[in-house]
Order: sequence, then structure tokens, then C-alpha cells
Amino acid sequence: MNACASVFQQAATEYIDRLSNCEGEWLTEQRQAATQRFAELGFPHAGLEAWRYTSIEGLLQQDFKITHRTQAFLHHEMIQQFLGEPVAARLVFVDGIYQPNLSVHTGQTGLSVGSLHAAMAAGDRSVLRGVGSLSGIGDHGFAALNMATLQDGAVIQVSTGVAIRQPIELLHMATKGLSGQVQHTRHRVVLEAGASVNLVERYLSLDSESNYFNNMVCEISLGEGASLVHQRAQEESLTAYHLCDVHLDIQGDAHYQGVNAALGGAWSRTTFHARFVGEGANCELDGLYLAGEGQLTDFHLNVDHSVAHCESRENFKGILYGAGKAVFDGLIHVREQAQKSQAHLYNANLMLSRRAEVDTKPQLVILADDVKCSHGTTVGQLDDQALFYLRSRGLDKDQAKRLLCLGFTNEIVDRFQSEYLRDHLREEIVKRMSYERQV
Amino acid sequence: MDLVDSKMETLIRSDYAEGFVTQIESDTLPPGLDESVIRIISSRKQEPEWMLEKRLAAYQYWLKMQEPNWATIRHPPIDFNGISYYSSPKKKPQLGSMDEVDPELLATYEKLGIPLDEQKALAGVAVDAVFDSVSVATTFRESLAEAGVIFCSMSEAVREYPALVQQYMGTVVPHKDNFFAALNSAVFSDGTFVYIPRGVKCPMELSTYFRINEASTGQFERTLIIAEEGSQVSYLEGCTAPMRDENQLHAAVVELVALEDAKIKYSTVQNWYPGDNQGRGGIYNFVTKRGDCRGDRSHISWTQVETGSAVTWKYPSCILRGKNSVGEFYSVAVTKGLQQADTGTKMIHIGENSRSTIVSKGISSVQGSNAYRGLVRVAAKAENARNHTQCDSLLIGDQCAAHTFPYIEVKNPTARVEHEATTSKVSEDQLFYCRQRGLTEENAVSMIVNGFCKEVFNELPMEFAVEAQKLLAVSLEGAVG
Repeated sequence: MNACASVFQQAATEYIDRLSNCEGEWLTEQRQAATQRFAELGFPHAGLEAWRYTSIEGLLQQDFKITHRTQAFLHHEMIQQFLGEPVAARLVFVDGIYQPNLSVHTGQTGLSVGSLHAAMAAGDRSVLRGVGSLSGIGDHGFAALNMATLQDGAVIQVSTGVAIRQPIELLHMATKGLSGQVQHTRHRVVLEAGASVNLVERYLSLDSESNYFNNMVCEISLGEGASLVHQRAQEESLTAYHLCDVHLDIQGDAHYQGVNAALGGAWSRTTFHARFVGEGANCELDGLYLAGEGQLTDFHLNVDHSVAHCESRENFKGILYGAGKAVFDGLIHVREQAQKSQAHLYNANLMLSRRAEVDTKPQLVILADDVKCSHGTTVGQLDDQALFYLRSRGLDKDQAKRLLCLGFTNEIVDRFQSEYLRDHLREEIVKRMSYERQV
Repeated sequence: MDLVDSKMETLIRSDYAEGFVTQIESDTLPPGLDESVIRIISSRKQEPEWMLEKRLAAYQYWLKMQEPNWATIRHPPIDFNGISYYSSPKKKPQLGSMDEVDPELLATYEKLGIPLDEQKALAGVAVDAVFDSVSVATTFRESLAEAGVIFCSMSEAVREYPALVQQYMGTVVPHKDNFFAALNSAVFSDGTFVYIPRGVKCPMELSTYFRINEASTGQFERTLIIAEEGSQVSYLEGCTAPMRDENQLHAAVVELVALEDAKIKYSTVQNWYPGDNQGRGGIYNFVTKRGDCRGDRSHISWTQVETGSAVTWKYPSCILRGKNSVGEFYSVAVTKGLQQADTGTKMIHIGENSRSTIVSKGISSVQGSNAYRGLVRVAAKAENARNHTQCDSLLIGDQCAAHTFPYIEVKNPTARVEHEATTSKVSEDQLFYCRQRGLTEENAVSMIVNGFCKEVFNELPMEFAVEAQKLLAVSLEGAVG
């Protein structure tokens, strides 16, 4: 483990040395500080409360390499099949590298989109200063590595009061060429006061057998009264590793509505750090996960009510089959001054096989008295009576099971605003549930 | 609102009714802990060699352990060498009857409302009173003996029933289990031993009253209850402690063993001294309680009402090994002033069709902090395991804290596990409704709080239910959210 960490540390140091100096001293210093932080923290281990159920041994065994920016190329036709509804802007990342030729920008006023790499090349301080402003240099080893060796990402800024109707899409494609590598991408989304955006994040793999490690950080800041619909669909290859930390800062009266689907990855972990910084804000977060043979899916939510009069609601549902394993950890933290907070968290798990495993841990830390908080969690299996009813209506066992599983996940799938994604996800769920029959 | 608040403050500041110190000569070891102390404890208790070896092994292991720091409690570091590990009321050789008991001691019990005399027979309760570390009187031994029930102090059991003690002690909570269990295994002073033979339903409810009396004396009780096949027992444990300015450490271990078809019900009302308004003094209560449902269809039920102690660290657990075994945990924890409680349970499902129920009610007032920490684990072999957990927190006062940390680990698809938790204050609507019906604010709050705890109080034996409601009323009267 230590040996492995030092290999990474050295790779990070070399990576920083090779960078051209145009991104400015400030960012380089940040990178060095992050390398230092990584040296102190090392990789997370089961002794840390946040990592107690999520083993990273398999990940470290893959021996992923930090590589310097390589050129990736994809024909437009290759991504055509993955495109859904019309967009206001689409930023395509192939193997973590921004592809201007595949990307689209309708040029709507008040919307500025670009790549972090371009900002670094141009030494654009206004953008670079924002890097790490919400996440810090990293609260665990992987986040610190991201900061140390980040190579690209999206930079999206929406001006005051601007409403972008059509979605902005971040499309991440992994090709065969990424195998054996770790890529560090970091997005930054800033909504100024009153802006309103629909953001779609998708993770896809063109090769079902490539194994790579996507180590992402996403920093999102919502200005006063801003509104963000955030739809995330993670469909990495089943041999890939995916880690994403989402940092959210929500100003007064702003509204965040996020919905997640985690279907892919041999190992995937998504952490949300949602922090209310102004009163009257609202955060809704829904999620759906499927974990089958050899998969581990992990969601960590950390909702921080640091000011009064905010509301949050989280609802996560998962289906486990094969030797799938799911980890869920939802923390609602209501601080002393956050009176009149409302926070509700719910997690439900459906276990379809003998070898599946669920470790769930919803937590409440309440330091104010005038609050309404609750959490609920369940682990169970399909209802025999419901199955019997469907079979008495002429469905075979597998059809009945699929129908019930679809019904179980529908609540979450319906939270996706994009009809294309809703249909696509339902198809995928049916496919996965059919696969389940064979195991 | 302000008026009510100040009223609440006065009520909460009201003196700890059980705070008095009995002047009684006692035989106390000087503070400090090393092997010689353990040898002295063992020899004073006339223990056999094997017991001493067990103690020394535990002590050696304890030396290598770290004090746990994961609980949401804060207290100044405990100086384990500043504590005296043995204190016994200076006793006359072998008390023959009640008349020989020190009158001052009896008066103490009188003040606490434990009549240690024949009147108890009418109440049907046998009392094994532990005054500091040594049992001074045991009643109803004879009538229990008729049924074949052994109910005696632990030190007596070690001498008189060594085979049973050797067979069971440390099998549920081994000394390697945790820091405080290791300490207890090394220096345990006394406690209660209960053995219910096969098929016997214990004719009366067994009860022990613990008191901490000597200043800066740690009490390290060790309780072992064994219920043989088809037997039943209900055991009550109650605690009050006199007022002292120094922190007193209390690290007990309770082990329950239920064999086939056996049923153990263990109820606690804990009212140790909580410390003064500045958080000075008060008992540090670090308890390891665990029940082992070894036999099929065995049943262990924990009920606790925790109103005292400056710090409570306590997780009564059930290991559901037997098929169709049942574990239950009912808890009310109240923190006021600067009290801190980190309490909950563990339900480890191993046997088929094992079931467990957890009902935890936390009430935090003023600056009190209350945490529920629980684990429900369903092992791969535990077919059709079933758990339902309900934990609710009530907040009174804007500086209190309530936390919920449930851990749920499921490795069997036939398991059904549910967990629900809510946190809120006494609702204004409910208060308004009660006031409008002519109740005073105090009565309304008292009624609402009692209703909040009802589910747990219903599980308590009659005598305790009354005491628990009284305790709750004293702690929280007049409080308005």
C-alpha cells in the first residue's frame, strides 16, 4: 500500500514538473500542496469511517498509471448513437480530454462554456482561481491526487438572471486507449444569481472491457435564487473504476435538483458534499444504483445545513444481484444556527441474490432544536404476493420480477427530466434484470 | 416563552434528590492500578487461582489497548491511576440476619426508597443490594433456592459455583472485546450472578440496587445471568448515586446467556449523578452489555431508561445465534444540563428466522447531547431474518444536540430490515391543543413527553415504570421547545 502510494506520489511530482508554466504559479503551488497532502494522507483505508465498507484493494491492484496528456480522437459518427435531445451546449470529453470538434455551443448569450485545459494554457486567472475553491486541495488521497494532476474539465458560467432552457451536456467517452490509466478531470459550474440551467452529465465507455480509473471532482456553485437541474448517468464499462466528488455550494433561495443513476463500473463511488450558505435554499437529490456480479456501488451524501430555513430531501434506491455490493452513507448535519431546517433522507435496497451485500448507514447529526428531520432505510426482497399476483395474470417469473424491479426504480427514473435518458435507463434496467436471470 | 424558559431552568437546576453521602467506615485501597492491586482485590475476595489468572490476563491485554474515541462524547482524559479499585463497607464477619446490617446503611436505602425488609416480600421483589463493591445483604435467597434459582453476588458465585462461572464468564463479552470490558475483567469488584435451571420460571422479579458511595471509587460490576433451557427470568437493575464533585468512573460488564427456549428480560433505570450545571462531577458510565441467544427460540429483551450520568457509553446488544431467536431493545435516554449520551444497540443475526426490534427514544434538553448508535448485521446464513428499528429524538432548548448513527449490514437476500428515525421538537400545535383544553404548559409538555416514551415504558415492569415516569417528570417538567 505504502509502496503503491509512493509510486503515485512520484508520478504526480513528475507530472507537475513536466507542465508548462503558463497556468500560473498559483495553480502550480496548489498542485504541489496537493501532492504534499497526498503524501500525508496516502490512500484511504478501511480504518477510516468514510471508507470502512468500500475497499480500494481491487483498484490499487489494477496498477493504474498517471499519464501525461495524450491525444485522443473520435469520429463524429462514433458518438452519434449516444446523442439524445437537442442541447444548448455539449462538451465532449474523450478519455478525459476536451474535444472541441465534437462539442457544440449554440452561442446563447449569458452562457460561457470552455475547457479547463484551455484556461490553463491561457493562464486565465479568473477561472484558475476558482479551482479548488469549494473542494479544497483534497480531503482524501484520491481528491488530493486529482488536484495535483488534474488535466482537463469543463468550465461553465451562467450570467445573472439567464435561463438556459435546453440542457447543457457533459459527455464523457472512454475508449480502449484509456485502459490501464487514471484520468483526473475537474468540472467547475458557476450559476450567478437567478440563473437557471439544466445540466446533464453522462459517463460512457466505447469498449466494454477496458479498465480505467476515472477520478473526478465537480465543483458547483449556485448563486442566490439560482436553479440547477442536474442529471447524472454513470454507465462506465463493467471493468472500470469511477470516483466522483461533487461539491455543491447553495446560496440563499437557490434550488438544486439532482438525480443520479449508477449502473456501470466494477467499482464506483460518488460523494455529494452539499452545503447551504444562504437561507431559504432547497436541495433535492435522488439516486438509483444497480450492482451486479463483481460490482461495488457506493454513494456518500453529506448535506450540511449550516444556515436556517433550508430544506433537503434525498431518496436513493438500489437493486443488488449476483455478487453485487452496495454501500450507502447519508449524513444530514444540522448546525446550531440552522433553525427551521427540514431534512429527510430515504434509502431502499432490493436484494435479489444470495451473494449480494448491502451496507447502509443513514446518519443524523442535529445541533439545533427547531427542526424536522427524518431518515428511513430498508433492505428487503421482492414481495412474494406481488410476484404471485403477476404470475396469476399470466406473466412468467422473470417477466414478473422485471416488472417489479422497474416499478421499484421508476420513482427515481421519473426524476430525470430528459425523456431520452428516462427511456434509455429503463431499457438498461430491463437488460440488466434479464442478465440477472442467467446468473 | 421567556417566562417558561426560566421556569424550566429552575426546575432543571433543582438539586439532585438522591445526593447525600453516607458516613460509613470503609476499607479502601489507595488509588492506582498495577498487578499487585489486582492480586489484592482477588485475595480480599478469597478468589481461586484461576480467577486471578483471568484477571491478570485481562490486565495485560488492557495495557496494550487504546481508549476508544469514536463516540460523540467529550470529557477530560480519565486518569486510570487516580482511581481506587477496591472499596468495601467495613463489614462484620458474615452477616447472619438483617438486624446485623449497619443501621446507617439501611437508612440510606430507606432514603432511596428501597425497603430492605420483609415488606419487599409483598412486592415480590428480591433485592441484592450492592453498596459500593461488596454485597451486604441478600434477601429471599431461600425461597429462590427452593426453585433452584441461584441469585447471589458475583464474588460468592466465584467461590461457591466455580464450575458455572468458569463455563460462562467471558464467553459473551471476552476481555479482548473493548477497552472498558478489559478493564472490568481485570478489576471487577462485584456484581450479580443469576442461574435459572432448566424449565424453571423464576418465581419473582430479581432486582439489584447499585450505589456508588465512596469518593473517587470506581465501580466495576460484573453481572452474569444464565437461563437454562426453557427457563424464564426478569431482572431489574436500578442505580442512584450520591452527589460528589469528582468524576467517578463506572465500567460494568453484563453478560446474558439464553439457552433453548429461555427468556431473559433485563430492565435498567439508570440515575447516576449527572454532574452540576457547569458539568463538574458526575458519573462516567462506560458499560458493555451483551446477551447471547445461544439456543433456538431463545429470547433476550433489554429495556433501559437512562436519565443520569455525565457521560453514558452503552450499547446493550443481542447475538441472535439460535434459530427463531428474538432480540429486543427498548430505550429512553434523557440528557439535560451538560450530559452526554452515546447509546444504542447491536443486533447480530446469525440464526435462521431470528427477529429483532429496536425502539430508541432520545430526549435532549438544554445543552444535552444524545446519540443513537446502532448496528444491525444479518449474516449470510441468517435466513428470513427480520429487523425493525425506530429511533426518535425530541429536542428541547436550542443548544441541545441529537444524533443518529445506524449501521446496517445485510448479507442475506431473505432479510427484511427497516430503519426509521425522526428528530423534532415538541410541536407548537400539540402544545396549543393541550393548552386550549385547559392543561398548564408544564402538564402539556409532560404529557407529550410521556406519550413520546410510552412504547418503552410499556416494556418496563410495573415498579420501574412508575419510577421512570417520575424521573422523567423531574428532569423535564416545564420544558418547552
